[in-house]
Amino acid sequence: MSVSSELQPVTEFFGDQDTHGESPWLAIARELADELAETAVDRERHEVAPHAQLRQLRDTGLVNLLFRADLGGEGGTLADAVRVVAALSRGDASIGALLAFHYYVSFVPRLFDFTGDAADLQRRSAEARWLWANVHQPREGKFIARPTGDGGFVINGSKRWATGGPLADVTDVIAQRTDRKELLFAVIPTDRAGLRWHDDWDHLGLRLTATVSVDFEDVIVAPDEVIRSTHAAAQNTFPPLYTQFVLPLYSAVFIGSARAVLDRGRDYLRTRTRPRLASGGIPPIEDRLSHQLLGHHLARLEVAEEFAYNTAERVWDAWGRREHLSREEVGELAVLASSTRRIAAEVALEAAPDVYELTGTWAAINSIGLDRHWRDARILSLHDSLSLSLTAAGDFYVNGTVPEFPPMAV
Amino acid sequence: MTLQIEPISDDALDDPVELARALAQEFRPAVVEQERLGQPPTAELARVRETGLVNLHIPVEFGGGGGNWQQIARVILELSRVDPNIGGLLAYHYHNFVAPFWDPFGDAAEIQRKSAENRWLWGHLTGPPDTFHATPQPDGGFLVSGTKPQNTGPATGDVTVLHALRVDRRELIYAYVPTDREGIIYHGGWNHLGLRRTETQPISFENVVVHPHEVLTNTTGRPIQSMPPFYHATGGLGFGSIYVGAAWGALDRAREYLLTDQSPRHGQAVADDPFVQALFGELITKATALVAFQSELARRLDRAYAHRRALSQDEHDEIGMHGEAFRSLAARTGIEIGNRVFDALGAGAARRSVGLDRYWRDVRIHSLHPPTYPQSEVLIGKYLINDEALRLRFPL
Repeated sequence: MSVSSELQPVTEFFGDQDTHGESPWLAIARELADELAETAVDRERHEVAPHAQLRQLRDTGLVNLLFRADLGGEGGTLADAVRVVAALSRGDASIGALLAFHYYVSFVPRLFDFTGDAADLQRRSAEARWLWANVHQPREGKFIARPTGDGGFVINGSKRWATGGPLADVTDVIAQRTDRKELLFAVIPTDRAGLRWHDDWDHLGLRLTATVSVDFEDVIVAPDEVIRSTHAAAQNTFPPLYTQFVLPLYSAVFIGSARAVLDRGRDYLRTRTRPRLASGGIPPIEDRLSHQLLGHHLARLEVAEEFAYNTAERVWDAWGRREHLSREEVGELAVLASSTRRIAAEVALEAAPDVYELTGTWAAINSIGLDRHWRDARILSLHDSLSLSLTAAGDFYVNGTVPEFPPMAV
Repeated sequence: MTLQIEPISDDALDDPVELARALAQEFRPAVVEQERLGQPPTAELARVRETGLVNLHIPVEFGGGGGNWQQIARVILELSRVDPNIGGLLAYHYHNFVAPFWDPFGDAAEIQRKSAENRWLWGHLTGPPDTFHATPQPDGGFLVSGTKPQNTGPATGDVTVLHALRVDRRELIYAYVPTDREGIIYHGGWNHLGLRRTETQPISFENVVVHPHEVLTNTTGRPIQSMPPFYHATGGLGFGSIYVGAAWGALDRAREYLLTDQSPRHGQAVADDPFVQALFGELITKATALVAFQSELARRLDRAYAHRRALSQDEHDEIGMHGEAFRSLAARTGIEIGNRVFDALGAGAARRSVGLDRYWRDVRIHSLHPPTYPQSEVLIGKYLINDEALRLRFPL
């Protein structure tokens, strides 16, 4: 909060006045979020694919935020991206999540090409303003890459959930090479022959993200679509810093959802005149019980937000020093990122049911749709197991065990 | 915990809780799809009538099943465990059979007999006192007009109880009418978070005729300026039982998913994960404690009701606040369990075809009627520290 002789309205106290310097991207994201919020309930209910909204992410340049400025990007940091995703998710978590996935997926080539920073790909993506999808959890199905002899590959496999595939321009893919115990990592257009995106996303929340199953049937990868790993050892798992980038961005989606819920509780109090039952006739805006309930969740949300920004800054700092990081430091950051995500998810999941207590049945009308925020948080929270995250944190604390992905290529 | 569907004979009221359990299993296969479509449970309610469960609350001497509140509460729980819509409609049904509450000295014998004989399912149109207005007629009946925004039960029931403010004095009448009486207008349009099958909707009365024999007899010795005696307690017990049933339902479904559909994580069975075991352990412990709370409340209610002709105001307050406490804790816990069972499972459990989210949605929406925690906890706290019980009096 800036120190000022003028008192800020109490309800604007946290969050709305950002102390970290308002970036131009954040202003854009907030403006977009306001537009998104107006149509979010209808678009979700009628399952309108968000092509127009994603077009805005491209047009405004938000898709290029994390690419380097010298390569045509916006030169933003992970913390900038976290703020943008949180702001967007406040309007529509489906759109926020698609951008969150885009940010970390389009960063994966840089994690593989550790020293070269996938510079050419950054340049091409920035110039064309690609939106990225991912097919990179081969644990799920078996993805097999057979070399074609010219430096290219043919890939076969299937995956149960791939977020945004039908909406994106390009997708990454990780597959196990048949010729050696190593992963192939490549980036291809989403309309490549043999790529089948199925229209089968029918889950609780994030309903506009098109998280569909996908089949690869003899999909050809050209030699220049293969991203070389520049790590010293052969790459047979996710590259270092992967979850460290992913989880602060997930946290941002939870934070945006939680803030949307509190906003709506606040707006309800401000616009209603009829006192709550058994409140003794006190106007809603002066109702202490309502203040206490919002105050409780606001404090927790503020902690989650600051935690997420802080974690993002530390991950970004580590990325800058990537060639000198110890395995322990990478592990510590993984635990930190995982804790960040857990706290953010809890805040969103707990705030949403409680805010109904202020709004009553009104917010349960489907055209108002307060439940969207809970549903969005609930489904995203299932992306990665709470149990594994707790185990990893505890095992690191007790035994110093550095959390690592199990090998994918064996 | 096998799930078998046993054939049920009609009038199988020997053990109403077992009957409810069997009916619930009968209803189970269709519930996710029906809920999604928001289809009213017409066929299910027909079974509730056929099997006699609909008459559980009526004493044997009047032709009913002679069930007590302990059984009624457990029946609501067992039905809600599979479908809180059906458990909910039954909760409304039993809770709104208020004719005997207003007539402690005559036990509304005539209405009880008719209700049992016709296997009536009851709805209600009661709430704020000035929603409906009653104009007295020369024959001792009334003409009733008004509109009430959210009503559960009349659209799916045979008869509905209602109250209306008399136009000639600051006093209400309680009455009941068949739900197809001329002048009753159903506005429809229920499209809410949960309880999507209950057909809850706005209802208007346009000069609806209430015959003299449909006006409830009041032998409490006081004019009707409040909800009836026991209404707070039966509401708390009935509604809380929906939430406890939903909590058990969420645990049942999550457990079933875990054991049949959940894929291993990193090569290890999720059911062997201590986190998952502890989560189920914690949640089932809470759900079990609520069943004990439910039994204790129901037992006290049965005892209080047996003494209905001599019960003091303090005793009424006590049983009412006990009901409030049960409803409040059941809501808080039902919402928590409906939410946290997901933590044990993967994203596949959030497929809409699994239907695990139903329980959270159903408890969340119903417990807004009226809001439960923390507002009900304020009421309970006031009772504890300020000696001030909530009495459902109308501000007349």
